[in-house]
Amino acid sequence: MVKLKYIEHDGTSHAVEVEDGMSLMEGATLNMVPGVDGMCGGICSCATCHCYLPQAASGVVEPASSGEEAMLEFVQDRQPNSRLGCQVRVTSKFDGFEIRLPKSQGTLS
Amino acid sequence: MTNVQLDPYDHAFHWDPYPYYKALRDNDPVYYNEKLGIWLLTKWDDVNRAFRDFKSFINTGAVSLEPDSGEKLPYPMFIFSDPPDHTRVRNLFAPLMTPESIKRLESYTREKAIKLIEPHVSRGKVDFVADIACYLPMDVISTLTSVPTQDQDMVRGWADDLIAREDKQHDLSERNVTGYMNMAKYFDAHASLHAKGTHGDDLIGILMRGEQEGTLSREQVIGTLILLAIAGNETTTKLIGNMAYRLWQHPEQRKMLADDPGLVPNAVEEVLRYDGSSQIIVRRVGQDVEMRGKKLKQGDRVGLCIISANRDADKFKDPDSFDIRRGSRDHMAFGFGMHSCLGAALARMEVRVVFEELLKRIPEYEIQESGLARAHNPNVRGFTHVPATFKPAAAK
Repeated sequence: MVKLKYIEHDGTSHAVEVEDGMSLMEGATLNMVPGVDGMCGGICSCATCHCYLPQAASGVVEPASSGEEAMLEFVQDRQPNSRLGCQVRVTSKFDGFEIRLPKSQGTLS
Repeated sequence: MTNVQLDPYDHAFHWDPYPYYKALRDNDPVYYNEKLGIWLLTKWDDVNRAFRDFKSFINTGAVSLEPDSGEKLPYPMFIFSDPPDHTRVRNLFAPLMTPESIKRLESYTREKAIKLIEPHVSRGKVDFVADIACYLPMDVISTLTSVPTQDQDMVRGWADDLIAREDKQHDLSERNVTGYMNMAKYFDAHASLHAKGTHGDDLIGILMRGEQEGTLSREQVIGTLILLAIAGNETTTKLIGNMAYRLWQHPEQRKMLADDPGLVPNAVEEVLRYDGSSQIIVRRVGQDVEMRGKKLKQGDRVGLCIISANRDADKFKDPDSFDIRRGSRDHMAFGFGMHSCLGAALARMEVRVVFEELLKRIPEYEIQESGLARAHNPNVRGFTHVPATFKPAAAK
């Protein structure tokens, strides 16, 4: 299991353990972390698992696919470190990472 | 307290269930049907909570309305399981089902849709379900499961047998179980055929590699293939019929689509919200929980009434108006969260492509109401026949 912290927009921190191979979206929803909806269940179709990766993640995660890039166009408050959690697989290299969450996830319309 | 009674097995109820659901939302939103021994949640907030809170509302031993379906339909399907096992199996297939992956199937789907529509254009009549919608999703899902063309009608017939319910039939019938067992036998042989040789990254390849590596049992492989034959087929077929019907009832909106096909994706979303093809999804209470003052006990069965939640005035303004300009995706026609429909992007693409091609050729049509016929199932909602006439195109 990989130890992660999800930090809500208001600073509330959630220390959780996530199974290697699951996604950052699943790490949040399986631990009932507020602030991640994961509406479409991980098929990159809803942009409601927006999160901000820590600096340490660069070089550890694969870059976003063109499909994810297209969906990221829909998120609010997009930053250079914005990702869709459902498209980021958690590995042992994530141990200790702090994942920040946006103010709101919104919905596609 | 209320006198509202709702029997999801009543055939008459299926023709227009929405007033019953509205009465429940207004009077008894967390309703217990004593005859069936099941809770029914009808408000958007409550259904959404049940989808999210996977510890209080579990899928193991649930999902379908019949309580004994687990024993009678024994092959494990991952929708009948819970995290983390569910998540591990689902993640095997999720990358195949993203909109980006589904794009690869679009030109095939379009070609097939055109082939199905074209022969009817000069005849001036068509049955949107029996001539078009019943064939296309099975054909497309079969490209993923490698079911050959000559076997597709047979598999579709078994899937129809499995979901068919007589009026007020509350238990699985012999026809239902026989349809299921026929599919199981067929997919067992199908898996044996594909077990040999190297496995690609397509769906059948992923399944057979999983079996080879010991992460999936043969029973799971069979269960998954049956699941795809039903889920990848019945609900999309019905959604196409529901959309043809609702566009007939709203000709000014149909004209808007015919004039501007760019609006079709929004129209698909509105049909999903206004008249989705999945009516009730079932959960079992995993730990005692209270909702709106009602106490739901561990082990109780709970029906999440999706089509009711999608008409909730607390969520959607003017919810009983059909308006393709709404285009909002915050309905729960595909569920919500970790069990959300894996084939959602595929279904959206198929229905969009069908209407892009259909309205190009048949922009105006009249449905013969007397010929409408419904499939009767407490979950799958839609027509088996939607006959229509239109001005035939001049012969080429």
